[in-house]
Amino acid sequence: MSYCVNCGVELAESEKYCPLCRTEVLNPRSPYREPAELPYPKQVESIASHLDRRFFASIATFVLLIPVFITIICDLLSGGGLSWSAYVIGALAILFVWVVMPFYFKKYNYPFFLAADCLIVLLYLLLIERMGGGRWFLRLGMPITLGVTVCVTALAVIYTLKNRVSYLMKAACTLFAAGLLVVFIELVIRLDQGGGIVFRWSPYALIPCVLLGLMAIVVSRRKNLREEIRRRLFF
Amino acid sequence: MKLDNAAKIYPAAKKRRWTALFRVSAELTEPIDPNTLTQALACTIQRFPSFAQKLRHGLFWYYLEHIDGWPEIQQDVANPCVRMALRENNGFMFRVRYYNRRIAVEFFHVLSDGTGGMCFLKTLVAEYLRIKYGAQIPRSGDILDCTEEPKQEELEDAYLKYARNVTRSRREPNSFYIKGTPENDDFVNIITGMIPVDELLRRSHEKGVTLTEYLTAVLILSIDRLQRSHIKPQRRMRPIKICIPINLRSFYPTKTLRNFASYVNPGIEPKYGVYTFDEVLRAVHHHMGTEVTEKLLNAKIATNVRSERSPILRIMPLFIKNAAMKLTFNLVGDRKTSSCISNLGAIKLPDEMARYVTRMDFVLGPLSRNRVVCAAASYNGTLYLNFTRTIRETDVEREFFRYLVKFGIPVKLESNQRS
Repeated sequence: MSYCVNCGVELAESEKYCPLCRTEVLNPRSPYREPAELPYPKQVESIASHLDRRFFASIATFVLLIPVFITIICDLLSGGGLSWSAYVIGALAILFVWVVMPFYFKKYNYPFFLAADCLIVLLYLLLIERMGGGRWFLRLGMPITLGVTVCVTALAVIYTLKNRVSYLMKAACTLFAAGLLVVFIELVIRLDQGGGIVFRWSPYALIPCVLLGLMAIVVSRRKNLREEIRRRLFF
Repeated sequence: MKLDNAAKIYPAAKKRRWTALFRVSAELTEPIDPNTLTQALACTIQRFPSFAQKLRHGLFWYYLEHIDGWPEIQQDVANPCVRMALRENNGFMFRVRYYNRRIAVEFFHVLSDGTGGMCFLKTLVAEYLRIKYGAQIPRSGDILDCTEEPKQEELEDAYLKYARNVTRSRREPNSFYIKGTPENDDFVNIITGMIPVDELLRRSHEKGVTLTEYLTAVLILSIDRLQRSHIKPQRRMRPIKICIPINLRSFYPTKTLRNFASYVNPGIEPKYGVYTFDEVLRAVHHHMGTEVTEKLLNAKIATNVRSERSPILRIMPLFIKNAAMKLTFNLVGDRKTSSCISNLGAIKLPDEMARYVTRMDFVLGPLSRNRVVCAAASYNGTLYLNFTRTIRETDVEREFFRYLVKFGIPVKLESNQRS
């Protein structure tokens, strides 16, 4: 049995340092050896804070509501009826659904959230069309938004596959998606304007994307090529 | 089932990262077998329906709902009594943990106080020994018989039954707050001091005080030294008071297994001068002498019971009551005392059981504002003093044990420090 030379208390065998003054226990007759049975296990329990996200989400929602009320009041006071405040409210609604809403949920279920993001953007575009006039929503706004959502969802699926895809393949997929998206956008615009389907400017984006994507795929497949590039670029 | 009067504050005071917990544990002669322990728990929980409860939100109050089954046996951890998520564990507000040769049960204070918890542990250990070794343990007093039906008197809210109608003010000046650097990653430091009871009893009887008063005086002196080293002008020093829970079962003939304790706050005012040990002892002894009487304690609990019975409070919905109680707790709560010392007293086991039990401990979980608290229980001639600390600095415990060593009392220490 050892005593602490500083405090004068006897110390159990499990103590390497005195718990009161942290003086090391040095007993020449029985040097310290960790006993087989320690009085407490090593596992430390931690307090998981799940509710942190919800709490901050509530605060963020509350903060977002302030400009909503201010713009409504200003609008009502200035001109009777809501005119320009609708744009602000719409934009804040998009911000809410994109950024704040996921914090209310425990798991980020990305198909659901991407669908919700797409829906709120479609509603905002519809609102702008109704308030601003024109008939561009069905022919331009909606297809482009849906196209972008499909692209992003496909990329999200590829990025979160069970068998992890190498980053070069992910880059290749992203480039292909970007190229195809640009082509799709021009297609939609051409259809809307009439006058035949002719791709004027989208090939300039599509071709480099496809080339770079193919290069990425080639490099990801051939290991020697990767090593060579790494050596040359001093990665 | 309604919560008893003292339990009503705990669900409101509970924070995201803090719950009022305490732990009782018994160390046996051989490593614990979890399967036997599960069987023992299944038998014991039938006899203690007041522990198999889930906390539910009512419209005006929280209430308890009985749940069948029992909580899963868990492995012990290095920092006990830190968290209890009521969503896990099927809603049970207590858990049974084991490690090597030790069985520990941790309770949320809503269910019971130290005496009730110790009764549960003793019965659990008796059942375990019966199943494992076939030990025939006489069931009387604290160790209940699991084959008989639970008694109604064990579930009663003794506060409502015995409180009379004269109340007393709870105003007290705030006391010195022990500061320190908080431990990161939710670790809680536990230092156990093992002291021979006879020596302590002899010393305290020499001075004409009880063991609890003796330990309280030493603790007050340790905190006084700490305050003196931090605050220079003597007139700015705050009073040092220690919260001592008093078991009301010794004053009233009740067999309740739920909360039934009050508290006193003896202490000193260092701004008047430097107190010697004898002066502190006298102050504590006479404070306890005047305060720990049936009449004054009754007035204390009557204050709480009157708030519970007041018609204005009763019709307020729960969320308003919650907010008000939380606010009161944060403003008033643990500010009246610098620390707490809870003495469970001498734990006696029948011989058939004592053969298998080498040690019994009582550990308080960290309190909401008090950084260092102390819990004591004596078994088989040794007093086990468990300090629970949420800061890194060991000043209070160091002074405490050094005082005991200077008085000539041998102390042996064990802790859960990480190397």
